[in-house]
Amino acid sequence: MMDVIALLEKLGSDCTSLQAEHLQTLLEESNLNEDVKKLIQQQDLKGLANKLAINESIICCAQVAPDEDEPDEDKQPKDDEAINR
Amino acid sequence: MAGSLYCVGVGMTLGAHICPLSRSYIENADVVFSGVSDGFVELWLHQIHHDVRSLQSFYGKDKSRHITYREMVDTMLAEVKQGKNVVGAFYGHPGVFAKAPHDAIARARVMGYEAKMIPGISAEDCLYADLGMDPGKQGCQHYEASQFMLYKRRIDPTAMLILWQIGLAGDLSMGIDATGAAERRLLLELLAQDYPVDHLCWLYEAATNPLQTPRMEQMPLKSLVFADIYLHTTLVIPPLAPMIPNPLLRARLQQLQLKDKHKMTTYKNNVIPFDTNRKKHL
Repeated sequence: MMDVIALLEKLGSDCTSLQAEHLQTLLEESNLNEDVKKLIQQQDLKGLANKLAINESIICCAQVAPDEDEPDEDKQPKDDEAINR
Repeated sequence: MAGSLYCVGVGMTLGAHICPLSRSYIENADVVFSGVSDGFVELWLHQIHHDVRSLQSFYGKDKSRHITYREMVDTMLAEVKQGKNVVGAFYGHPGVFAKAPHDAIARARVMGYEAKMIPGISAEDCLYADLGMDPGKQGCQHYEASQFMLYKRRIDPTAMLILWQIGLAGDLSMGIDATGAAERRLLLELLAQDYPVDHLCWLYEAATNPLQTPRMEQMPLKSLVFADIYLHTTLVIPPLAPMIPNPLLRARLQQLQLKDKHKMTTYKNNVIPFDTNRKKHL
């Protein structure tokens, strides 16, 4: 039995799984409820997030421009502290 | 010294991009901190490790991201100091447009702990594949959108230009709210110094879920002002014109290579004063 996240992982890592007949087999084997199966077939991520109460409002900004009054904030590390060894 | 920090990339698309080594670090960690792109990916990490702690709560409305990132670093290092093997799992590549992982690794090393970064497939990698663009073809310039606006740059319109975090373009608060049409109009004004406003550009968003398709929307630059732009949207401006040849340098290179064809070494030709061993010159 597969839950939604395991199914998504399978879809992401197995090139055959997104083919219609394979996806159908996976869904049948998953024992997910019919509503969820339908949302996956329709590729309705918003619906899926709502159904599973998954937080969609995640923030993914990753970098900041340096403030003029904080000139050192975004300096590259001194010496070679950030070099992988 | 007990305690370590590994910052790993989980890639952009759930299940598709994580490398075996990053997955192994996550599985073998004492505690995993997550900074990922959506709730599905967070849940996925919870299935890989029993103790995954989201770094999302450090973001806040009207709170500078300078503070947010410092708090993220402090939180990860607090666990390292307790002797734990800590993993920071970040979406995309943990070292590309990502402040907290770089800072955390540098600080952990200064304190004497083992710390390392493991790369991941970034939005940039996805962009080249999805849009069919090769940065090696005519060259490529990358800037964070606000930095691009706040600092003077010499733009080369014969190369590709990619502006990241276009949704935050011109934000001075360093917050997490997208900026609007007024800021984008200023950005357009700046771009118009090098490009005609009818030049076609792309808005790009990588797929974070296998059920998604990437957003690849083409429009003239002038349409940016009122386009649907989110925090994770990237602006891609293809080259405006072909590269301009440099006949003088070509002639000098030809002369150099013909002159001493058989004797030429990298030391004698005096053209490539390049130190490959990265030793510091004191």
